[in-house]
Amino acid sequence: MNKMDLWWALGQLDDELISAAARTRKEENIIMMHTRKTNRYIRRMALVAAVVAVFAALGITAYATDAFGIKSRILDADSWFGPETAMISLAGGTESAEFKAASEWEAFETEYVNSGKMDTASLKTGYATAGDAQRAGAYFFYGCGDVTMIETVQSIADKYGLAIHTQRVDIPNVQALLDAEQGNIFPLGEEFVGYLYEDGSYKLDALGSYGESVMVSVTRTVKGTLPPYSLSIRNVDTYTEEEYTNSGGVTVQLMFSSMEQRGVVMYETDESVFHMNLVCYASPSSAEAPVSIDTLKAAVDRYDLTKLDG
Amino acid sequence: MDDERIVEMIWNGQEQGVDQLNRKYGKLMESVARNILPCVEDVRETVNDALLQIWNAIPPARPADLKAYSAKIVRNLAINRWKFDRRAKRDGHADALLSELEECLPARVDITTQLEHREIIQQINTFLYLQPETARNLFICRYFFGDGVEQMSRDFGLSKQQISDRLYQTRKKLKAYLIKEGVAV
Repeated sequence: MNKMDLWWALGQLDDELISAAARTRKEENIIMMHTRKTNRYIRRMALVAAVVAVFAALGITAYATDAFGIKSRILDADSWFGPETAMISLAGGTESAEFKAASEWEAFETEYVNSGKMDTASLKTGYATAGDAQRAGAYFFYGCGDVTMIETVQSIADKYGLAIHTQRVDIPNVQALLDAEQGNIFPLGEEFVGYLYEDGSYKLDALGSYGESVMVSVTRTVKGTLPPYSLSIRNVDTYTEEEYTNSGGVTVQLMFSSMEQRGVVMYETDESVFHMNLVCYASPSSAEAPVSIDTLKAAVDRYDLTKLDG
Repeated sequence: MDDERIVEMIWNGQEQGVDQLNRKYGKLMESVARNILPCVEDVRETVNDALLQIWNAIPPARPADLKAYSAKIVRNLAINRWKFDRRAKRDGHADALLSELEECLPARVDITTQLEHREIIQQINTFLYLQPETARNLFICRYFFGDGVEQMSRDFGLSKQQISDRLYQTRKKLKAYLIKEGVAV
């Protein structure tokens, strides 16, 4: 395969991938900027009004995010994606070692990468040629691009008494695996793909439909290990939260936004922290529709959450 | 008009279906062609060719995702035209895309372990599903839609340097992934 073959091959990507990416493109901004801004403003105001009306009608108690919950888990750093895009830790609240370590690593990574100091060649001269390529590869999980980053992530983990992930295996079809071993956990008809770490942490992705078409990511972060990723939730000020007990009797935290195309479900046990991140990729009414609280509830009700921690 | 209705009209031989398709996805198709072809006339012609191809393909084809289907067809036609035009003159933007993609390819490819292209496409699909959402969308916007870094900077609210760094990381990861999956020795 040469570069022309690869370019051509990329034209055969899955439709879902292409459509999802297409929604991030804003050619209308260039061609019809005024119209788009006006329409977007009106649409968003309408959405806000609709959400307010629903809450008022149903008497649902939704509370500001700065009270507790989501804001307590924002990593203390300007994220990769800029100051207007909040990143939340996937491994516990501010008092946990995992949160502190993740916050410190996030801050270092952002500053270091933006500084342009990264020396990717050092991986070859430092680790690969020293016969430690496997160790260098392990740090690939943390986005380390050079030896300095590898040493830093290790020192941060040591400082907080945490382990570093060392192995990860891809799981091409989670449903088949779980059907065989643990029974049906995930909704039938949804094929999850993802990967599993050596400590039982995992990240799984699937496409689902719970009234709206959504992309679902389920992450389990086992405590005691530096989490390799965080979650972008964009503008935190647009979120509200609500506790919800699903059909299996498990109480979770729902985080939903009037503006953003995503919603988050959080569920914590003694061993692990779970997040379901739902991103809307299509809606009959609008390509920019937020994930509604009903969609979140429908998704949570379809999972046997008690088995996720196995 | 929703996509199903447009497909239905084309399926039934109603030419208004093509008008509706052009109205709904014409700009998308134009932007894809424009990112590959330097000549405005070629862009218009390619979009028209794509509309005709979709008209001819339905039926028997019945695309489940009309937006992606249209984008794929116009992209393939634009690449074909670009290849033809390239014999006479090189184009800077498309060459830049190709040069970047070369970084994703393993340096040595063993014929005996080389996967069929279809399998490689599947590997790339899987790889992309495993990436964080933003990294995935950046990669597709760049290498499927052919968007420029400046436009992506506006679309994603990131600096051009951040875009370039992210793309670099994803290309590097893709190369490692393809090696792991047996594309190279």
